[in-house]
Amino acid sequence: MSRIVVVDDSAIARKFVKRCLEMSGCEDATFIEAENGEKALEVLKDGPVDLVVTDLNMPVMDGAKLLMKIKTNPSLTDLVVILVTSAENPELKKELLEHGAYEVLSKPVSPADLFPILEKLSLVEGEA
Amino acid sequence: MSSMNTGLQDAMFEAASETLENMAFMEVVAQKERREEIKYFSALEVKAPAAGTLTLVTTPRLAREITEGLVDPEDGEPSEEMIFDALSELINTIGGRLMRILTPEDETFSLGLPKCFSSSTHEFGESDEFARFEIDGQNFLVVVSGDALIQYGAAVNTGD
Repeated sequence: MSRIVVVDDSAIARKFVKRCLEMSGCEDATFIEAENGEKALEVLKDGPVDLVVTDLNMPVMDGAKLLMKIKTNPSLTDLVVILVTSAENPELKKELLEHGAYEVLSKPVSPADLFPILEKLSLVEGEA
Repeated sequence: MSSMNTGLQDAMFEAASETLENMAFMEVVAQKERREEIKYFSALEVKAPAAGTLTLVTTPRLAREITEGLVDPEDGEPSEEMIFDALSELINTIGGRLMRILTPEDETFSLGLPKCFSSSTHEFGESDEFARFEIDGQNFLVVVSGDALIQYGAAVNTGD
């Protein structure tokens, strides 16, 4: 069973992303919620995780900083990180991808956005 | 209320209706006439490429129904905090979509943080752009305020 961390300062946004992931075929996954990057890093110390889906714009520690922390930590560097944002900044997107983000998605994410990514990561099988 | 800027209003309608349909699975239709009894506001500052504010206005009942559409039905009746959280997320997403429609692909835009409040007396400016919607018989508005943002939206849509 996969373990997925959903990071967003909005509880509603976390629930929405979780629901989209479930609708994409991850209904059996264990979801762990964190309200900012700092809390997510604490969660990542507690055990292996298959995927992090994080908002970009958050107080305390944003998604970009969380990505850097993950990718510069030798024990976490292979962890797949998907960033979600309502902003549109092609340069920032390019920078995030260069720093190891697996994908940068625009809000609102949908099962149609997530399913091909999850399938490629072998986190789901067949049609959602 | 301005009624000349149909390009901007089309973009406002597209951004709001697609967000509501994709996030809360609610069908949205354009509303032709103004109705009263609006109480919940969620405002988002647009910082660049043109300054202005985008505001979502709805009735408490519709706000609750939208929130219920966003969360697990097993979560029960949403609190006012959850409702404002949902409205913040909605205006943030609608703002992102609207600015993606209005802004050329190679340009960037910048948004502030959403702010929510309830009021029965809040007034908008005469030059503001309104897009009125109806969801299940309930009133829902998206308002663009600020001359710079309104002019930017009009110029993009008319190719000026």
